[in-house]
Amino acid sequence: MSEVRPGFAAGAVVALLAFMVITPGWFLPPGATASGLPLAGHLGEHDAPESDCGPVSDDPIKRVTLVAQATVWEVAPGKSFLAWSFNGVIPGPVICLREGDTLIVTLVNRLPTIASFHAHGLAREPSSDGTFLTESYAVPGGSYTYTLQADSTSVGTWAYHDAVAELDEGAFIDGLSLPESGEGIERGMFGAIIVYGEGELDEAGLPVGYDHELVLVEAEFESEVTAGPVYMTVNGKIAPVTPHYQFQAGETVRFRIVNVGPNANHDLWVEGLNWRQTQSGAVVDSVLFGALEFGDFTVEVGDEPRETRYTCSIEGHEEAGMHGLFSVVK
Amino acid sequence: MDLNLFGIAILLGVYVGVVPVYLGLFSLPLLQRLQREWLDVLVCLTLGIMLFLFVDVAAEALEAADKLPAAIAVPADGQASVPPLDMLLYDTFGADSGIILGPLFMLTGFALGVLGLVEFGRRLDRLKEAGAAWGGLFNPATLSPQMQLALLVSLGIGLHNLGEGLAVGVAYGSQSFALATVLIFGFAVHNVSEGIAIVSPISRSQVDLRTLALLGLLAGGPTIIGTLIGIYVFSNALSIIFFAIAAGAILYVVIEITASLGDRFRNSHANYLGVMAGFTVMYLTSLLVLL
Repeated sequence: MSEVRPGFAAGAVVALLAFMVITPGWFLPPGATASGLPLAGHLGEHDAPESDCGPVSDDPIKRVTLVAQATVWEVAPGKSFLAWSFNGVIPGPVICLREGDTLIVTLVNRLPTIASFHAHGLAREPSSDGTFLTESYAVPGGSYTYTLQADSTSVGTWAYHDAVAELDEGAFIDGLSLPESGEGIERGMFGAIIVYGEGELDEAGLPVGYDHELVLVEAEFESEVTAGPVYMTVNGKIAPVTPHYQFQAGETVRFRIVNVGPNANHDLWVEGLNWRQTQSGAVVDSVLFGALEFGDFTVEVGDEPRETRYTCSIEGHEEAGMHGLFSVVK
Repeated sequence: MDLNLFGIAILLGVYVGVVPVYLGLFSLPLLQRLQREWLDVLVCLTLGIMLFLFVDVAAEALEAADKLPAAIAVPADGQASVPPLDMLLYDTFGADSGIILGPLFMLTGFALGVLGLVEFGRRLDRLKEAGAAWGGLFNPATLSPQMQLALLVSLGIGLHNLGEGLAVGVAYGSQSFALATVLIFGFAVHNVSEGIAIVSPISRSQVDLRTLALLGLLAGGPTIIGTLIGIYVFSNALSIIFFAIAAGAILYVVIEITASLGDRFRNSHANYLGVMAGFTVMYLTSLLVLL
């Protein structure tokens, strides 16, 4: 049998390289990149209300596994940076509970730093606080289990996030440090928590009284994190791939809005749209939240079909990507 | 052109494992032009590469074993999913069984890997003594020690790539893998070295194309099986066993390579530099792969 000749080998190498460079674009669907929550309003006919939670089970114990991991996050096609995430998505999976539920979170840590689950709005013992001082965190390669309760004061919209991750762990030596680190949030470790009260869900576990119930998470990524421009994101994305909210005329929508910051204020403004704070009934024409503020707002989208935009009106935020389409169709 | 998940799983394996290994294999004519004295250094390069793979896959196995308690202690509930195979362990042995099962799977897999290859090697030797004809390709009767080494290296790398494919499949299936071309490229660069590791021992031998093709398939093909398993039937428990078998098999290969060099290896600067070069290349290219 013949030897492998140099000419043949060189030809084979060129052919294989060409295959590697050219064909992925043909075969792999563009949607094959990691994507955030499928939050894009609701298209087409629907009988049941659309909810980012989906049907919420009536099992009083809810278990969630979160994997803290490094993730190449694409905020828009061709714009990626090395982020940290829960479960490879930014924001992390939305956690949906009923009043009275117990939430058990298993945090698996695949980061080179300690990581934790710190929740707002839920009752817990110090050992489930997810802060540095309580030493309730998962070490690199390890895991930690948190147990929290959704009591009567928990009903509403909240956020969870890491509170200890820090590449330079020297900052934490001997408890002389701050109780929390913001680095996890800065790099993408956050998500929304929704707690439903009595009567807010129907028998199927879907929201009563709304056509849509959507989670909207605002966050900024600074240059130190992106190694590039500042990104002001909605559900982990910047325009033009932020959610396109599309509703049918006459619909009622509940927006669960979370600003995780970690530092900036964000507002949300749609021309001619009133936002009614769901619990208090107060109506505002734009929703302004500071970092780590959350709440929910009910919106009547109106009877007239129109094509408009939602934006953050704070200077520079729209330019950094925080805007998207808001349509009302017949 | 849209492919279904099955097609994508196979293609991922091809991009990540098969093509890169063949790219490395085709460095053979280049290696054949080196002077005869370089042979030992090349074998040491292979040794360094295999050492890195051992560290890599052993760490994966240990990590997977560590994680098993958490992985099977969480029953599925809409938001958290436990793979069916792990659920079976949970149902059969209980929530806390991971603490014992993890190390058990780790050690069992490791033993299977080492002892399996020892047995394979013994049978090969016996066939050789008997002068048995064994198909046209790897005829044990005419199998040179170098070719035997290349065959073992291929086998070890194949088992390693089974685990690597598994990781890729899981990441893709759970959408935690940004399937950017740049990442595929990272894997490719990383795995080219594996092809080089296979042909280094046979750079002074007569090698025909069919042999080369078979060695490549042995080393790269399991990546495809891995991605398929990772996407369709992933289990935390199974991944411990896979990684542990690979670790055991590669340990065997490392020891065999070292033994084949014998006294020539001892205190040779060139040879140790070869080992370090192999390890360094694998380490640096692994930094391109963010998984």
